[in-house]
Amino acid sequence: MLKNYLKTAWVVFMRRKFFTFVNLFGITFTLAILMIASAMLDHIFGGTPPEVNQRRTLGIYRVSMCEDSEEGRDMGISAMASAYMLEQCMEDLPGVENTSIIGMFWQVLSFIDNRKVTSYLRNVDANFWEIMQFEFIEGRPFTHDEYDNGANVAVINEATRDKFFGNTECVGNSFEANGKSYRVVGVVENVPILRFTPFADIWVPHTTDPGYNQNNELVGLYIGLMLAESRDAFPMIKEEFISRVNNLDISAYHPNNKIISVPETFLDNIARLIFSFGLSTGNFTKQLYIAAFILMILFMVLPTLNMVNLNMSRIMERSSEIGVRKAFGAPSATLVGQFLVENIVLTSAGGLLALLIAYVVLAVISSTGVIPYAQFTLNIRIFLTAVGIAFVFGTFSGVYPAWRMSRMNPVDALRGGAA
Amino acid sequence: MIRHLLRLVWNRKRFNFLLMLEIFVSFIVLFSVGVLAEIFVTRVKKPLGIHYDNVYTLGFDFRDLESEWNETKYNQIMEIFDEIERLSSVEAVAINCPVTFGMAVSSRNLTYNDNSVSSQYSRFSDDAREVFGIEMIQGEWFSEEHDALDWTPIVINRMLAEELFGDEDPIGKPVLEDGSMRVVGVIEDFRSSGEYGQIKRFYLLRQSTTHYSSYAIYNLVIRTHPNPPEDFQENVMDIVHTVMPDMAINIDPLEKLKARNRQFALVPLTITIVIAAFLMIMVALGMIGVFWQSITRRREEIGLRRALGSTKKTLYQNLLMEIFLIVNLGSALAAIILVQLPVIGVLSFLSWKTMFVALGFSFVLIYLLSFMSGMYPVWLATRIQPAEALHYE
Repeated sequence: MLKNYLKTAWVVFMRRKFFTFVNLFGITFTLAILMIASAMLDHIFGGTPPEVNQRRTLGIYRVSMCEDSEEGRDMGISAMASAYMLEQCMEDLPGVENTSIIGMFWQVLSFIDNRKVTSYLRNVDANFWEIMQFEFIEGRPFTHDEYDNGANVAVINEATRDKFFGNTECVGNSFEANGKSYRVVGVVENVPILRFTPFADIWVPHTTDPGYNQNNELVGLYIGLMLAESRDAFPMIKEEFISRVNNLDISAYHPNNKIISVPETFLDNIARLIFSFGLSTGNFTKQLYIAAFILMILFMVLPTLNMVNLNMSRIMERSSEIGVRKAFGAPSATLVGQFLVENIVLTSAGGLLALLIAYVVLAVISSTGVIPYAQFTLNIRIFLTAVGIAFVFGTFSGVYPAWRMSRMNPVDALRGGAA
Repeated sequence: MIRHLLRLVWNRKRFNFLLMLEIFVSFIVLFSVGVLAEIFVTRVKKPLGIHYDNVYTLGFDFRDLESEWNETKYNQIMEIFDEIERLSSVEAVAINCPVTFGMAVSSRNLTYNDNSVSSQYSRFSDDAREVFGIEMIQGEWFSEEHDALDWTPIVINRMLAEELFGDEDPIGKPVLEDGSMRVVGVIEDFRSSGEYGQIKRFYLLRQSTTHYSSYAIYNLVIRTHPNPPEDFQENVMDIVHTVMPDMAINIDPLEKLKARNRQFALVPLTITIVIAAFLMIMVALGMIGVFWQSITRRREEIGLRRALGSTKKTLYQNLLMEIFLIVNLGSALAAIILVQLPVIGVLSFLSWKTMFVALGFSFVLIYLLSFMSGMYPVWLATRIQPAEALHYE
């Protein structure tokens, strides 16, 4: 049966090549855009190396100070946490295997033969290398001993090695950044700039920075990472962390202030920022998914309409075929089913083409280096998303024409169809 | 004539309704692109009022500005200021915080005669005029004589002048209720986010270089000779590190900051235009298919019309008119709905000018689009031989 449908579909597609081409063009273009968008989002939020423990990791990305009044909640300060605050609240949390405090990346300058080189430097602690699993090309991460002794050591990425030392082994050699000298202990693969938590060109210990953790301010420029024993421990960790945050002494800021900081994934953090400006401790990731879904539907409105119109035309053209089948007793459901199969075959073909186009476009974007170190790739997650979207697309654009077709009066259909 | 066409369209209402809906959505897509394009073109045409070629910015990355700023730091930075000024390749040095074209902004509320607006601002020292080549359109620039005043002079941009003072002459007027800040000059629509940035209310606040103040200095701007020596940036870094060994700094040509702003502005615009263009190509191809099909199906009718004496020309016109009728219905409906938007408060940032330019843009493009996709199928229809078509029946 299905084989017959497919055969008919093939004949129909080949008979009106122009229609088939226009249909394919629309489907392919629409799906390619959606695939490129999802590949980029996956690149930012998905758990690829070095964030292999992402599913078990919670981060403290933001500290908000706000003021509760009768009219509601007013935003005061929205910033990152200080090392002092993170140490106070992350110490010995139940259900947590490992914690790390990492700085925000910032620009540093170096000069090589009068040529200015700008790199991003990030201060981290030794636990950072345990929570993140970097691919070391040579050398090793800096150790707890080196960290405690405040040794001027650094781990650099491949691109930075090439800039400073050429494409040669460099462990043990030194380089200068912002007038300070660091000895290289390890070289890692480049981490894309869109991966906000691990990204940097150069990673050095906090202990090389004389200003680290010198005062009792609550806001600063640091991110806290907590590796949980399992995801089941997340609610417990969040609860305990938030209660510790509530006990912090914030009288120095404003007596009515409330301080809000939540352990969350990077995606949760972005969702919370968008939907509550960081003023609530709730989880808003579901809303973010819904918003993304609505955007996707909006984008697909025009392509779907276009396809419905083309399908209507195609059906009109086949009215004599439909008339004959109806006259010989084919039930409406069969005809609807056949048309839907045809349509889904077409969208799937478009989906495959789109996958190919998305692959090429992403490779081109990656190779231009517009976004430093970005390596956009397609993976099974994106492939499955694409298959899902193509299926929904095919069904939506096929249902209305198929329904109209099934309601066609056989007599009219045989005569050439009523408009 | 129109009534006759309307009846023809009405007879195929289900089919034409879908087509109209497609035109409706296409019109909205084109309108959005038109709005974006109009806004950008208007911005780019407005003069900036400053010159930034051969200007470098030198930023100091204080870890915590408020707690670290003190008289020692002030003296160190002024020492760096003087040292840089002595470099042979340097024409002028000035204070500018936060830096023009940078990411950071400061803003505050200004009041004049119960009229209150919020405005962005940045601090500039007296030499900034030399560094940026600032062109005054009214009043005067800051000078050392202003040190003796018990209020702070400011220079405002055209937009702020118009919105705060209306038709009044702003020179000498206070902008705070206590009179501690007064206008001394007006410049063009200066905007700190570059030519492509949104035009915003802005004022330049005078920063004195003769004595310490609690306002931290964390950015200098330097104008060099046209071709500074290769090691210019390194020299500047050395000067800074001699005076402040642990200070993290940024040196960049302002051109680079501006290019980054331009990229931020242009990338979303480009993506929108590319996607909209693809959507329109898709719609055009789709319409060709649909019109073609509907002409094929109307062979008998067209044959009959030809047999009854309709010329090729009138037939051509009639069929195109039918298409335009559907297109007009779809786009007029969209236009009517879109015009309501600023009235009911959605998208209230749209000026009437933007609105009408964008509507015009969409109408022209949608006509062009439907004409181009209708032309070929309609031409095919006029080639139908009456005898053949009637025979088919």
